[in-house]
Amino acid sequence: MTIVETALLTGLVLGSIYILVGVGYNIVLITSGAFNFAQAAKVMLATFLAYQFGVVAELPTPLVMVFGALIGAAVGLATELVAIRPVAGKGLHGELVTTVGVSTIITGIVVTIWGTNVRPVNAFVSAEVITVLGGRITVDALILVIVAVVVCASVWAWSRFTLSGLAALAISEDRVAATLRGINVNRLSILAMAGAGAIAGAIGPIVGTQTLAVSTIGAVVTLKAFLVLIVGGMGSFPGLLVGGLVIGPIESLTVRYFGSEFSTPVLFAVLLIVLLVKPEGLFGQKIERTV
Amino acid sequence: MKVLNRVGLNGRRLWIVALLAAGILILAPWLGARPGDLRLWMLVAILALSVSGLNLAWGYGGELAIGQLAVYALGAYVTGFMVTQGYDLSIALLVSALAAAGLGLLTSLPALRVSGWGVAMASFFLIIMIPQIVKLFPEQTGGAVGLIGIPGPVLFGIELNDNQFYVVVMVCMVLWLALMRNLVTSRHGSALRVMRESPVLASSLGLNVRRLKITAYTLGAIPAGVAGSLFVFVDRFIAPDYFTFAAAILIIAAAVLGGAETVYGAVVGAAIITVLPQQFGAFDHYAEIVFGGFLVIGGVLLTNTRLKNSVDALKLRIRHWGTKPAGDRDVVEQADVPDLPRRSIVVDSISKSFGGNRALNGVSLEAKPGEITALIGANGSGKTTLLNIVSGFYRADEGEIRLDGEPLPLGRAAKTARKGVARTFQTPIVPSSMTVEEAVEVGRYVHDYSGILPSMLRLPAYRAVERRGISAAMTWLAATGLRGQARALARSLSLGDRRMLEVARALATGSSVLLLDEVASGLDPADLERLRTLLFAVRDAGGTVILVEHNFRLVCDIADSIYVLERGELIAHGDPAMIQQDKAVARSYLGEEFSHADLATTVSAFEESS
Repeated sequence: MTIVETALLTGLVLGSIYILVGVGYNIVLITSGAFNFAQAAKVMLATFLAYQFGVVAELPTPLVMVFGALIGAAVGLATELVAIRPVAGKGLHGELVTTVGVSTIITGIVVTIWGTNVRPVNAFVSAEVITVLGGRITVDALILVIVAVVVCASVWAWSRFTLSGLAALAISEDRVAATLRGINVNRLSILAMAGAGAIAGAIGPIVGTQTLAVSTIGAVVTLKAFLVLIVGGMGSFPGLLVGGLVIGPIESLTVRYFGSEFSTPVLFAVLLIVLLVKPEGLFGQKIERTV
Repeated sequence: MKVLNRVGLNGRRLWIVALLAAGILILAPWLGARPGDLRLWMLVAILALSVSGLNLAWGYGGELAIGQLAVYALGAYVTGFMVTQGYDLSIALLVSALAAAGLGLLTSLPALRVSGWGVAMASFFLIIMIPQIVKLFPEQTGGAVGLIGIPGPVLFGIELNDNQFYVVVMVCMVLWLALMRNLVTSRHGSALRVMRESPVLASSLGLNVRRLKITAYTLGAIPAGVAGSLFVFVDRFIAPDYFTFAAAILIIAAAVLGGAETVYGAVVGAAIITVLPQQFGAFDHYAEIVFGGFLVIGGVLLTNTRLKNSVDALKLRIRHWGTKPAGDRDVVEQADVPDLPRRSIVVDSISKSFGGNRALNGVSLEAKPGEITALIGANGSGKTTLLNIVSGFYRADEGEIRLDGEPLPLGRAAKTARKGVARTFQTPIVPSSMTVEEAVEVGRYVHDYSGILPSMLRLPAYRAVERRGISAAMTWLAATGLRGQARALARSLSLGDRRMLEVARALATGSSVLLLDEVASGLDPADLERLRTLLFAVRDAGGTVILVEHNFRLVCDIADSIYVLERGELIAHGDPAMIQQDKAVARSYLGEEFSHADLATTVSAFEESS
């Protein structure tokens, strides 16, 4: 019966990647009200940075993560200033258009620098396969799952228990009211985008052990992480965690038992069902319409 | 310019120019165009069709149908499969268009429950599904390798040569653009724009927002399906590689470049996107970076209010070039209101809580036809909540509201509006890029409906509706004193005029119950006088006016009956004289120490001293 367990574990690993991308979505959603389509592209960029600094330059992994975080933060900062601030809240889904643009630019830059071939990434701790709960999984994959849970929980704790986190929640409720309360909305938006970028940049070496550095995964990961966000409820970190740990196994089990062609159609069906039956997601809040 | 005017060309007839250009384009093969150019122009036309569909859904309706590429792919595969089975192009085109509409309908489903970018993202999902779906049907689609052996186009049994097929492509584009132009310049275009700017306003006018969204996605998908169907014959080969994420970006980039809220901009955008890579050899290398840049810059410009305003003003000038205004600026306007059906509203012990906060507690009141009923009270006393319940925006926890004895559907704003209850908003909601006349006329969308097909084809039924619409709009604009500004941009009006516009729009819906939410706030004395005259005229015409107001003087001056709310409870009811003497009201407004005073005098004293 190791096959089912292995498929489940693979699913948890997939889900963890979506959670790590989703954390970035949520941070920006809370502070800017915008959906940052480019988050997955940043993670993709980070896997190439992990290749460049780790494999080519042979730097130690912690240093690779620091460089990744710095570059990620810079990209996040630029995205906020150029693509999100000028359009946020002005309708026509401007944020979506501009961040799709940023995502395309990042992909274009990656292809220009590193080409379209798959690049390797160093093992994070060890690529050795071990048996956990009856299934086979690499040590690095297990670490990825733990990292996803820890990152998600930490950011959730930040939003609940720190002053800046609470300020961010206040902004997500009512931007104008938060400004009137003396919260520096713009500064917090910048910090949030830089933070989300830094997280994306730092996790490159860990995510890369599972995905390798591939320029084309951006769009697919973006949409699956979006699905996780919808299932859990937008802006909810517990929802994100549960959503990721549910959607990942659904995907891996579909691939295992029906074939890889069925994975995306099944996930699309899940998306439609959630949107039609429980559009606010598992942990989202229903808001009564106001005039 | 004057000469052109003299031969009968003006802003409203610019389509003649477009048609002439289309004629030349269609006949290009016989006017010396090279085969290479024809191929390029076909690609432009095919992209323009997809872009135009996106413009309809997104530029006008505000629904970013990113999944347009999936619809395009579906159209291509349906036609590809059908022609290899020996079907005629005419049938394949029709089936592709229907399949496209079906997929558009599917992508609109999430819009029934959620709004915003979630729907757009859901439609994005379709694009990453294309390769897998194609693999699921290898025999019909050729799988990952691609569909080979596609025969040349056969239309009505005649095998088309390259030039003839070029004509078919161009005719399809021109026909669609003509239908699209007719649709967006009709009231359906206004309704889509109202939905884009404010679903709340749309419901208050009785528009069915869900149906409009479904319409936007479904109609917008059809040209993309046709485009896919035609694309099959360009290379006589289709494969999943044609339908990638990067291709989806091209459609959005073209829409942004040409202007999303335009008819002919789709062709311009498509031409730029198609021709650009041909002109620069090294372009392919940096294509993604450049197109991504287009999206960022385009997205920023698209949402730039100042740019949008000047573009709107320019569009308006072109549209009005050489035509005479319908209204005469110098006419002294009278508040001339046609007779309204007499209807009464009874609010029967309504209670409503938000969380633990009881906003209304068993409030009952009655508003009679031919009377102005005012609802006053301090901030937070529940006035606007009550108004929102009557107009169907909130449900009530208990109680009911009856219109002529018949219960109103609480919590269903559009349905309430269709029963003849209209409202205005505390902050006037005036959609951008609409003229004053259009903004009023859209109020008649439900009341005097003309279908989508009659509008697209400009059938006599549509023309009759349009004539009635213009004359009704003029009646209400005259009544509200806005007739001279009928052709101005609604957004450019002053606050007072915007409030009047809201009243005109509410009356244009054919309702005789009028709910006015703080309609006098921020008005100067001249505007107040105009409002007073109008409200008296509506009252005398048999209208039922419910006024939620802070301006105590105005209320005492014009109301026939006043209800006073305090913390969700009704504390007084009577005519203005009684309310001014009421001790409880004075206490509520002025506090304990002034409660012995006469309210009206105290208010005057305060106003004079400040």
